[in-house]
Amino acid sequence: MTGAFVEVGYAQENKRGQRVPGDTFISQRDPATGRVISALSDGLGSGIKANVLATLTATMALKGVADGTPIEKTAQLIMRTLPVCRERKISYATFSIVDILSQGKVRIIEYGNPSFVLFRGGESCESEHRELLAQRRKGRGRQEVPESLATLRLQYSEFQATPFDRVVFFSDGVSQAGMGGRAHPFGWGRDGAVERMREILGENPGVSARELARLTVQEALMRDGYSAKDDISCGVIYFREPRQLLVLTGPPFDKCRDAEASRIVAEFKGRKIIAGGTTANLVARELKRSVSIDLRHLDKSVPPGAAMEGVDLVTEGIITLGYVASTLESRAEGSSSSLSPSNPADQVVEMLLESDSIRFVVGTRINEAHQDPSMPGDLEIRRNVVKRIAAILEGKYLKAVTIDLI
Amino acid sequence: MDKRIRVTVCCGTACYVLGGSDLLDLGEKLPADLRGRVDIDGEPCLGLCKDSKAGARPFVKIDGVVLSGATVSSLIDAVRSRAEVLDRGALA
Repeated sequence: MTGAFVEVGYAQENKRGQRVPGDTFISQRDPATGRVISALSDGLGSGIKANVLATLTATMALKGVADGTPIEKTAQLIMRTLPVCRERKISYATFSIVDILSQGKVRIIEYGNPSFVLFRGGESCESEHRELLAQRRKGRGRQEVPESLATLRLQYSEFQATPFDRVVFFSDGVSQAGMGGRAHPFGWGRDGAVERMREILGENPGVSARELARLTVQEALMRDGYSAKDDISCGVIYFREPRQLLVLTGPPFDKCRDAEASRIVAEFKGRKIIAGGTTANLVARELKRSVSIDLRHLDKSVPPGAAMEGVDLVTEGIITLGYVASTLESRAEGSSSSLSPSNPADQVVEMLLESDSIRFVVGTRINEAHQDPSMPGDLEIRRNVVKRIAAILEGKYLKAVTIDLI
Repeated sequence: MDKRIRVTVCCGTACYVLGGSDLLDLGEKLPADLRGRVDIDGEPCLGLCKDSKAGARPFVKIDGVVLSGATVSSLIDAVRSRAEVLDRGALA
């Protein structure tokens, strides 16, 4: 399978009263080979202790798989490294590792989490798995390990992904949601969660990985009466046609390239954002379109947005991009709260996160008015802000980003 | 019927940070007698900040006439003068 983009999304809710999640989800994409590895770990207990266990586990699992260390050995190493819980006398954290090699070959290794779900054509299909055994070796000074935990039973699955497949994996906070309630004393279970995801896919077959994860976590949270009884985490991997986004910001250095910049906007296949007043005006002039500001929804933090035919969003430039950069930096990555973009900058953030492949075209003409020392605030140099945004999108959100200066 | 007055506020970066942000909700700040006859809109950038002779930011246009260094009160004054000019024209 070539050409498909691997979108990775996840959402998370902390157990009620906890400031940090006891589950950890991490991912990495190798830009050279396109290999994507994601790891989800649920640490024993909750809060900081669980967070440390889960972070250690997910990180080691990810590195082990990336390095090609046999998974049994990695699992063994993890269990020997984790600190022993004083109350439970064991070291324990679950993990699910999804390893996607180029060409869509998928390997999944699971320990202790609910088994992953593969959605193909909107339906879940069970895939075959085999068991790998790893001995938990006793370290010096360690307590005797109960027989049931002496052998680690890992599940190993392997399959070839086809376009539009989705792989969903989650912590037991999802499958056990609603536990103790009258309807489902043991929670809605993995089957209940799978059924809900099927419904979501039925309503919106093109739903993004991020949105499917968010909706699943929200449903689990609702079943817990909006007070999570455990850490709730869901990761989704979606093999899809890349969603393209163009962001044109800044007028070209040389005015005679205004037409070229405008043509890029006109011909781009995908969604389009123009960030900058001068930029919007030059595109409007070149393409003979009108641009109108929307003063109905004013927000004090950023200037108002505008509308132009054939462009999805028009915003002011530097203030808006600065706001976008800080929002992306500070936003909790797996935040499952619903985003209702309230201002143009939030709309830009939402569009960036909903896209896979983002092209920034940055005009480098300096606006002399911005160099006025009496200007308040910190108006940055455009290309620096864009570089900041690109770095976060690539590193934290695994997007494919290019920047062209014009 | 009173003639309507068009106020165009520059929403470019420089104007916005130098006070333009306070002018965008002019509709709520106008005295009652003017409120009904002013149409307010924005422009992505009026382009005046690049012209050193145009004066201070922020820029607003009142029926096409530029007001530089606009504040809420100077803008209301300018709208009122414009209304008076229009009213005199209507009487003549």
